[in-house]
Amino acid sequence: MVEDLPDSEVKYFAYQVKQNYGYDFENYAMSSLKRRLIRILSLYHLPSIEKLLEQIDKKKLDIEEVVRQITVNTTEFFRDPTTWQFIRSQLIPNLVHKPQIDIWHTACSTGEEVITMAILLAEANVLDKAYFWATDINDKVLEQAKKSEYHIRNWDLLMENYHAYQPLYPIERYCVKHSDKFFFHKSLLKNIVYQKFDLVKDVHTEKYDIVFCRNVLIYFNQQLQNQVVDKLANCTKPRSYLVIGSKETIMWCRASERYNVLSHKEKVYQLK
Amino acid sequence: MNIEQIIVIGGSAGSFPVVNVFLSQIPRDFSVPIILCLHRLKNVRHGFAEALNLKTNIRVIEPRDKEQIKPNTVYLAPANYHLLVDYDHTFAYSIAEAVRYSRPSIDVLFTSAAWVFQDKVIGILLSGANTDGTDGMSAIYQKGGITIVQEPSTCTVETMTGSAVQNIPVQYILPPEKIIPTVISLTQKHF
Repeated sequence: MVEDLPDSEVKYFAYQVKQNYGYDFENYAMSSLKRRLIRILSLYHLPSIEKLLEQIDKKKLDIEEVVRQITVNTTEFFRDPTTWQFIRSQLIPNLVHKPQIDIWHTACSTGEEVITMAILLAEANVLDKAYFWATDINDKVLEQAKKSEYHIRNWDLLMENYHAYQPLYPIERYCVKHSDKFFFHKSLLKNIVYQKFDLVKDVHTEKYDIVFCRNVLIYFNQQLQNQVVDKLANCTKPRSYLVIGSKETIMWCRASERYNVLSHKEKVYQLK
Repeated sequence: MNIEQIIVIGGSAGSFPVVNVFLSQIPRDFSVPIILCLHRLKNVRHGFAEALNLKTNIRVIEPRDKEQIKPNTVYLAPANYHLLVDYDHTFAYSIAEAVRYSRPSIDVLFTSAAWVFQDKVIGILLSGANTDGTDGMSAIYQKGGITIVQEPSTCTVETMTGSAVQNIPVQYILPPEKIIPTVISLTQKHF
């Protein structure tokens, strides 16, 4: 197994993929990206980056599948339960009176975070006027997200987080178990639009009441974090919210001046 | 700030008392940065760094993403995230898959430290109940760093250290009380 890759190989991969397939990993955090690439080489039993690029070029490997393997798609229902408690108690009361609530999940992966937010809005009886734009860089995970069916092995973690969140209603109000899967009711999901979007290069001009960008910035270097947080701030309505991952910070970013910190612990920011 | 050496410590079941003793004996002016990766409960987000702080003369913190690695500081990998070091001497987090059933994983931290700091790394592996850490110690060894393992017979659970000792040439196999004096002698010129 390949144990280390020279930086030059990682950069060569990023350059080639950008030139040929339009995905830009050049400003991803180096150690993480290197680790992902080593993992991919091992997964496909390939000896080098050169061979990996060759396989993609000859269409023996699907670039979308490789992108799915590079980007981390780990997600949970109600991940960091206290963050969701904060959103329920501090953000939603400021949104319920709006005629329409617009929410952008910038890296929705397989959809757990969107469903979590939909449940919060259902609890507050405002789901009908909420509109979700759920995006991800990767088509494959979006296909999974659209199905909104989950393997039963995710159930225990859902329940653990859900209880920690201290919900108003039992989870069965929103979903049903069938054989080795569980499904969320269509009524919960009717206002969700899933779409491919690359935070690094795609442009967007709509504005939202809440923008979720949790555990995405950690994979970027500081320069790219700067650029992406600018983009997020431009897509946030005045006095509206940005939620990032619990170990992330926008304090090094120039756009941090545009925000007030609502919670250092839960990483919730409000645009000035 | 030029980092001349860095210490990474990994442990799991049975390692907490050893870490506590280690931290309580570190001299106040010990400048070499220390990064700790200890397996622990996933939803316990706070309090662990505080508990370690009580015992030590040095600041113990969970780093922020992209925070610069600084001397005279102990950094602690938080629950449910991998902690990596990056080439610009900052920290980077990841929520990628668990490695050896572990997140944070010792292999992930140690390997990234070996990539970035090469032979400047001192890797210390303590008591634990799985084999996380062996690949990381191997990476440190291969880059010319120093490998220290708690003597398996002194470990509450010896799976982790036993695996390292069996699979890679470990330079120092030490009982807990010898670890600090050895580390101090290996880093002496730097503080």
